Amino acid sequence: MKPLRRAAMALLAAIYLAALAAAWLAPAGYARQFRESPDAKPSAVFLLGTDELGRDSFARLLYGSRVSLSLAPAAAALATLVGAVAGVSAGYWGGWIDTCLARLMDLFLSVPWLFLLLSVRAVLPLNVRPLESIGITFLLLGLLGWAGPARVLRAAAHEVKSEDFMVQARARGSSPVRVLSLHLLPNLAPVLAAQFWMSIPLFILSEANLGFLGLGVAEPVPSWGNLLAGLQNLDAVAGCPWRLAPLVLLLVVMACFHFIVPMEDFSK
Amino acid sequence: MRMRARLIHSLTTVLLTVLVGGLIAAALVRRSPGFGVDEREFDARYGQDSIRHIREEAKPSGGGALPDYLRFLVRAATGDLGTSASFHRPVAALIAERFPATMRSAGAGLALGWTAGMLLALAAAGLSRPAFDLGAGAAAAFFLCLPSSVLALAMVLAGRLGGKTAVAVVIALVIFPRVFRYARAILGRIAAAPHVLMARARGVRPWRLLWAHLIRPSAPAILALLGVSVSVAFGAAIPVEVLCDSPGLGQLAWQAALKRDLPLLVDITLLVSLVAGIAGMAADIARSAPAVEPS
Amino acid sequence: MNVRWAGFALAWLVVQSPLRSARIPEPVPGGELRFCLHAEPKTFNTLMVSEEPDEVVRFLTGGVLIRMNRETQALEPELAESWRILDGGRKIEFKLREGVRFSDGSALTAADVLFSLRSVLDPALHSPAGEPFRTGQGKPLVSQPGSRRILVSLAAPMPGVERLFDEVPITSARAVEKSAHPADMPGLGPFHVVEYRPGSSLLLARNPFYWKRDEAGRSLPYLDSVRLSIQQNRDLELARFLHGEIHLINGLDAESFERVAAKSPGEARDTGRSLESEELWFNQVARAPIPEYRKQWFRSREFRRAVAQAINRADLARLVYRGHAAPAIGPVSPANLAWFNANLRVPTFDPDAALARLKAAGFSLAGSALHDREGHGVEFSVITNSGNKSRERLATMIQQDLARIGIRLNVVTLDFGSLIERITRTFDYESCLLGMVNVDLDPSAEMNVWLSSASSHAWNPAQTSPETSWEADIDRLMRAQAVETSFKRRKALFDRVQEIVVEEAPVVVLVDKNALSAVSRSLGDVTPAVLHPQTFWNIDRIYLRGGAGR
Repeated sequence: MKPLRRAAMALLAAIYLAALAAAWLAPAGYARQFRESPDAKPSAVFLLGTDELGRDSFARLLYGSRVSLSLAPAAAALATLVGAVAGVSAGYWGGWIDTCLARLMDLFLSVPWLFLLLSVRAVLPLNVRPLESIGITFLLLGLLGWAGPARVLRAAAHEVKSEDFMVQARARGSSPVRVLSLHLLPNLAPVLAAQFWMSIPLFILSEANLGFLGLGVAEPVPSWGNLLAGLQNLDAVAGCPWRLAPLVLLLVVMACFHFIVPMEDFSK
Repeated sequence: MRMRARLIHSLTTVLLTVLVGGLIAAALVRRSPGFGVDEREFDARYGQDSIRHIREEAKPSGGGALPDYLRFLVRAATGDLGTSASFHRPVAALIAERFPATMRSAGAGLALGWTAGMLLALAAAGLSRPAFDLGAGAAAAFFLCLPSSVLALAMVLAGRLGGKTAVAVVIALVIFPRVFRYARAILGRIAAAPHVLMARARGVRPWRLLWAHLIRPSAPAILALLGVSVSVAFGAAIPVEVLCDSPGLGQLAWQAALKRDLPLLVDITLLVSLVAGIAGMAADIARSAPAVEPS
Repeated sequence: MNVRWAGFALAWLVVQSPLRSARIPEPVPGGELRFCLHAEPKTFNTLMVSEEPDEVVRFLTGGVLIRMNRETQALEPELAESWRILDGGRKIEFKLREGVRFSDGSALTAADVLFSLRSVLDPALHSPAGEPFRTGQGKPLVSQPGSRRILVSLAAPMPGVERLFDEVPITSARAVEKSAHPADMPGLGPFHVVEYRPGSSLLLARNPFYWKRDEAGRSLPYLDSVRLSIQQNRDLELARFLHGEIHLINGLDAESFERVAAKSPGEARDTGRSLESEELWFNQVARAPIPEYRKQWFRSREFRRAVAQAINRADLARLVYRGHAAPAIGPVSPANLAWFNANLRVPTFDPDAALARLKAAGFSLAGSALHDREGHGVEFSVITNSGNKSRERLATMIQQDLARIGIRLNVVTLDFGSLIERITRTFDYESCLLGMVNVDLDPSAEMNVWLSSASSHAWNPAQTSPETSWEADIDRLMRAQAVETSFKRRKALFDRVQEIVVEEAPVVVLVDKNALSAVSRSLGDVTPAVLHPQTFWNIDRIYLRGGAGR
C-alpha cells in the first residue's frame, strides 16, 4: 500500500499547489465574463471551456479548489474533534455521562438547525466580504456537524472499552489519561479517520446548500459546492463531458484522502 | 426486573429528550426571519384592508415560546396536534397521509441496504478472496463518500424511477456501505478466531460454518447497528424526498420549513426525534445484551 | 417564484400568438391529459383560491359568468348568456344561461349565482377574487331583478368591470361545504375532481353534465380525464415530459426550453414577449435600517438612472434567457398592446454616460472605485430569492456591469420568507431583484403598485402622503384614470405614469421574458397564449390524437 499512499499524497499536493498557483495558471480570473463566448468548448484559451456567462471554467475550478480544499477539511476536522471529545467521553466513562451525552447527540440530530442558520443570516450585515462569509459558513458547518461523528465514536469507544487489553490496563491501575491516550485513542484512530474523511464531501456540498439561505460562498467567488450544484442539469452535461471536471476532481481528492488516511481496519 | 427498570429509565430519558427537542425547535422557528410573514403580503392583488387581515391571521400569538409550547403539549396529550398554518388542515391528518410513504421507502431502503451489505460482508468474510474484498470495500467507500443529496440527484436525472422507489434506492445506497463495513469488520474478526479456523480445518460444512460460527456469534453486535441505521435512514429521507419529489414526511417538513409552519414543524420534530430516540435506545440495549458465545 | 403585481382578468387587446397548432377537423374523444402542478393545492374552495395550483384546479373544474378567450382576448359569454353595462358603468346585468347543471346533475339556480357573487364581494370573507371590487368607495350590491337576471350595482363606475368576472367563480353553498372533500364537490367546469392523493396527484374526470358542445353538436370536453401530478422539482417535470409521461409544461425556463427544442423541435413553443418581467429596485424607505448616506444615493434620481444606464439589458436577454427575452422598455410590456406607451424607447446601454451622470451628481471615480461626495465607497447589496438560477445569473451579470462604473454590488440570495420579511416589514435591504407578473392588463389592476399609499409600492410602501413630487403626480394620474370612462383619456393618463417611472427609475425594469411552454405532439388544438393558463386555456377543446389510445 505504501507506493499508492505516496502517489496519493503527491497528487493531493499537486492539486493544492495548482489551486494556490491559480493566478498564474488561469490568468483570466474566475469572475471575468467573456460574454461573446458563453458555454464555450475547451480550447487553448479556455482549457475547460466557459460557463453560461462566459467565465473561464478552469479558473473557476482552480479558485474553487482553494476555498473548498482548505475549508472543508478544516470544518471536517472541527466536527470530528468535537465529536470525538463527546463520543469518547460518553463511551469511556459510561453511566450518567454517557446517558446525558447520548441524549444530547439525539437532541442535536433532531433539532431543525436550518432555523438557526436563518437567524444567523438575519443578524449578519448584508454587505459581508466573501472571505468572512465563507469563514462563518464553514465554522457553522463544523460546529453543527459534531453529533453524527460523536455517535459513531461513542459506539466504537464502547466496543474498544470492553476489549481484553483495556480491561487489563484498567485492572493494572493505569490512570484514565494513560488508558485514553495509550490504549483507547490509538484503537479509535481508524474510526476517527473514517469520520473525518466522510465529512469532507458532505461539507463541500452543504456549503452549496447554505447558499440557499444567503450564507455560503457568494457570487462571483467559486467553490466546489456551487460548481457541483451547477451539474444538476445532467442532460446538459451529457454532451459536454468536460463539465464533469468538478465532480471528477472531488472524487480524485476523496480517493487520495482514502489512501492517505488509514482506515481499512475499520474497527479492529 | 432489572431489565424492566432499565427500559423505563431509557424510555423516560428518550421522552424527555424529545420534549426538549420540540421546545428548541419551536423557539428556533419563532425567532427565525420570515416567521409570521405571509407571502401574500407582497401580492399586488391585495389592497390595504386585505393585507391587514392577512397580517392579523399570520401573527403569532403573543404568549412566548414556552407557554405556547406547554399549551401545545397539553392539547397534543388529548390527541389534538394543532392545525397547520400553511396547509390550513389538521397536522394529524397531514402526518397520517405522509407517514406511510416515508415508512415504506425507508423500510424498503433499509431492507435493501441491509441485505446487500450483509450478503457482501458474508461473502467477503467467507470467501476470503482479497480481490473480492477490495472490490466490495472500494464500492462501499465510494458510496460512503457520496452525500445522499448527490445520490438522489443522480437517481432523479438518470432514471425513470418513481419518487418513492428512487427514495428507497438512495436510502439503500446510504445504508449499504455502513452495514457492509461494520459487518465485514466484525465477521472478519470472528472468522480469524482460532475456533473458527479449527472448524474450517476440521472440514465443517460451509453452511454450518457460516451459520454457527459466523452469523450467530456476530448477531448482537451487528443488530446494534440496526437502531442507528433506522435513524440514519430517516435522516436521509428528508433531503432525498425533497429532491425526488416523493410525498413523504421529509417533503412535508421542507415545505413546513419554507413557510415557517410552527405547529407542523414542531410535530414533525417530535415525531422524527421519537423514532430516532427509540431506535438509539434499542441499539444500546442490543449492544449491552449478553453476546452468544461461539459453540 | 414570481410576485404578482396585478390582478387577474382580461383585456380587450389582441396579442397574436405566432405559433398555432394545426387544427384537425375530427377531434377524437377520449384519453387522459397529464401535466404537473408545481405545489400542493392549498384549498379547493373556489371562493378562496389565491395560489397558482388552486387556480389551475379552479380553471379546470369551475365555472364563470364571462370567460376571456386567451387567444383573441375577447370576452365570451359562459354561464351568463349575455350581459350589459348600465347606468354609465355603475351596474352590470347578467342574463343566466338555461339548462346548466353541476357535475352531480343538479341544476344551477339564480340563488347559486347570488350566493357566489355575494360571497366573493363580501369584505368580511376576504375572497381574493373580490379584491379588485374593493376600491374603498362602498360595497357592491347584488340583486335578482328577474328569474334569470342578476344585477351587480357598484358604488362608483368602474371602467371595464366586466373583465373582472373572468375570475369570479360561480359555485353553490353545497359545493363550498364539501370543499374539504374535493372528490364530492360538484362543479360547473369541464372536469370535476374524482380522486385527490395529497402530495401526489389529482385525477379529474370529464363532467358528464358540462353545458358546452362543439360545432358538430358533440358534448365537450373531448378528453375523458386530466391527471395532475404534484411535482415541485422542475427538472423532474422536464424529464417526465421528455420521456412522454406528461403532455404539457407551462412557464418553462430558457434552459429547459432549449433542451426540449434540441430533443424534439416541434414541441417547444415560444409565444413571444410575455407579461412577466425582471426588475431591480432600490430601498427608499425613510426608516430603513441602512446607513443614511446610502439612502441618499437611492433617493437620488441621477444615481438610479445611472445604474439603469450601466446595465447591459441586451446581454441579460441573450445570455441568461438565451435570447428568449427582450430588453425591457418600461414598466408595461409591449405585449400589453392597448396600454403600452409606444413613445418610450429601449433605454440605451451606455456606461460612459452613466459615469458622466454620476460625476455631475457629485460622485467621483478614485482608481476603479466610485465614491460619493462625502468619500464613501459606493458599495451596496442586492437581495434576491434563492433557487432561481436565472435571477442569480442576472445578479451576477449586473455585478460585472456595475463594476465597470466603479460600483461594488454584493449579491445575497435569501429564502422567500426572509426576503418577504425584509421588503415588507423590516426594510433591512438596499436593493432587490425580483420577477413581476402582470396578469391583468388593465391599469386599474396596478393601483396597489403605483399608489404611494399602497403596500405593494415596492420601493417605499404605505406612505401616509407622497414623499416626492413625482409620486404625488403618479397618485393623481392613477386615481384619475380609474374613474375616467373614455379609453383615450385613460390611455393618455397611464402613458404619463409610464414616462414618469422611466424618468425617475425607482424600478429598473430589466427584461421582458418570453412565454415558453412545451406541448406534446400528441395533443391537438393547443394554442399557447401569453396569458395564464398559457397552454390549456381552451381545455374543453384540447384532444389527444389517437384518442383514448394514449
